[in-house]
Amino acid sequence: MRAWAACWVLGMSLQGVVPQAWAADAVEVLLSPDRQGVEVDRRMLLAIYAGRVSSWPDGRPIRVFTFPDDHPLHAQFCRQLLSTYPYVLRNAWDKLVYTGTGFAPTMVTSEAEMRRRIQNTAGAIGYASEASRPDAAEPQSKTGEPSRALARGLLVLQQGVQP
Amino acid sequence: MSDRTDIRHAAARWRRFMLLLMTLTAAVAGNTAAARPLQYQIHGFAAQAYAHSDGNNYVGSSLDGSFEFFELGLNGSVAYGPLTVSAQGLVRKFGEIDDGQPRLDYGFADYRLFSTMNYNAGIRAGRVKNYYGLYNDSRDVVFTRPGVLLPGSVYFESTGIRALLFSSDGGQVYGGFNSGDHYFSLVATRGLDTDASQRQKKILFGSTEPVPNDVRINGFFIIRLMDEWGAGAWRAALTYTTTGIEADPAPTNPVSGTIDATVWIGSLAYNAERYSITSEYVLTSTTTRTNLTGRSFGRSDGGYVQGDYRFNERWTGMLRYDLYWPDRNDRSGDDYVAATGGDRHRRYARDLTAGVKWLPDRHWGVWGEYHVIRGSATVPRLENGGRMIEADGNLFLLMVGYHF
Repeated sequence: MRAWAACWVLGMSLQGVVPQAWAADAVEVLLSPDRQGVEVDRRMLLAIYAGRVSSWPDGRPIRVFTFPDDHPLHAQFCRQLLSTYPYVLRNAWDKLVYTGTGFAPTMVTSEAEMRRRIQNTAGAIGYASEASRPDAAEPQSKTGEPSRALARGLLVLQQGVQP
Repeated sequence: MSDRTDIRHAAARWRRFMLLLMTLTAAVAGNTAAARPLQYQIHGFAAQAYAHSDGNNYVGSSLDGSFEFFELGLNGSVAYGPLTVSAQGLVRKFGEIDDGQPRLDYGFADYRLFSTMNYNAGIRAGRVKNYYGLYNDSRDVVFTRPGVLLPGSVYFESTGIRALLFSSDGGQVYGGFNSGDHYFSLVATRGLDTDASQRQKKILFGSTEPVPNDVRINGFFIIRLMDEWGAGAWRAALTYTTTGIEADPAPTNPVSGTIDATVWIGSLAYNAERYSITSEYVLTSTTTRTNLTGRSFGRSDGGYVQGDYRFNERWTGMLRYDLYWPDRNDRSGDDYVAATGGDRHRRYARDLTAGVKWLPDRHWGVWGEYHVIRGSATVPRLENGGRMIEADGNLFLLMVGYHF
């Protein structure tokens, strides 16, 4: 009984310490330069991507960017950061568009384009793989790349979810 | 004369409402006009079906094979700050029930009163979509439907009430809030009292001939509460709608009377990675008073359960069982047969449907569906004028659609 308890305690503590395999090429949320410093938690991210909110807390419109439904990074983003599936978002977006009650996200096809559009669009939010950072070792928050703090925050966010 | 007074009152109310809306808009736009870029979008869809059936005509003259089912729409939205204006033009042909003439499906101004990460609320005015069950608000876009045909029990695809369900000329309030893992939302619509068009009258009364009586639709109200949780995995909704229909006598048809109808719908849907399960139940109560038959009360009910399985991103299979009874107190039809000597099969409909959906790319879709239908309660009377309605039938549907 005591041995089982020891194993359980060890297991629980390891969960928090051992990096998960997919964390190496994790998806990170990108914010436009004018949105740096905004805290985006999981619930806010879901509210934005499900089309439930259309403006930032200061009233500026949110410009949402995404990859196509069948893009591997989109599936990874849906699962890891939103805990949902691409088809669930697609259904929500089609509803918005064909009832005239909201705007569908803008679709981009490459990570380079995603980073460029986020950089150049006020109020923009998107996502890309950490590996696609132009300077992955030294992120420069002043130029609009996600700051270390945000990336760390998102890693913490991810660890609550099983891949 | 009373007709004209009603219309004048309705028009006056409408003008007051629009004036209020414009005043609000101007006030807010004046305060926050700086640095609010214009946002716009244009989207459209087109789909053509082929229907073939035995037993009865279920879609157009499907007994002979029919292409009389297509839908074509173009919509646009423009947003400036909290104000959005949206409209959709629709051309839809569905046998005799929908005539293929262009119409304004919706056209409204939406003013977002507030929008934070946890709360939002707003008002819409104009021709607004009715939020009824899970699918009515986008029922004419095959890409957003759970199949080529919506379940007949809940969405009245081929019976009278459908004519009132598309959209309403009136006002709408909406709102939502996050609470923990849950997102609660509400949409309530009040339609202006209107005179039914000839098309609406024909569908309402299942008549192949023009209806000579003046018919008014009064007090249309619909409200839907929805709870979504588990990041969109679960959706539960409750819809309530009520309306009155009033018919005046005509020289060639001296029948007059009123129908008061209320409809309740319970909806539940679960979305997993590979599969989805959706179920809805509908209960309709009607009180009818006419100068010929006096007062009568009736209750119909029905519902469906549907399972979808996604083999991969492109292919989805579907199985649905849909049940409907025009009189829930006489499901066997015994009372009906005893009272009228009519056919028992008019008092029930059971529709077992198997279907497949193929999305070859992000614009195109192809649907195939086979319905095994027992009972004639949902057989469209408009499509079967002058022929004996049979108890059972089978329907094959193929639909090809494009959207952008």
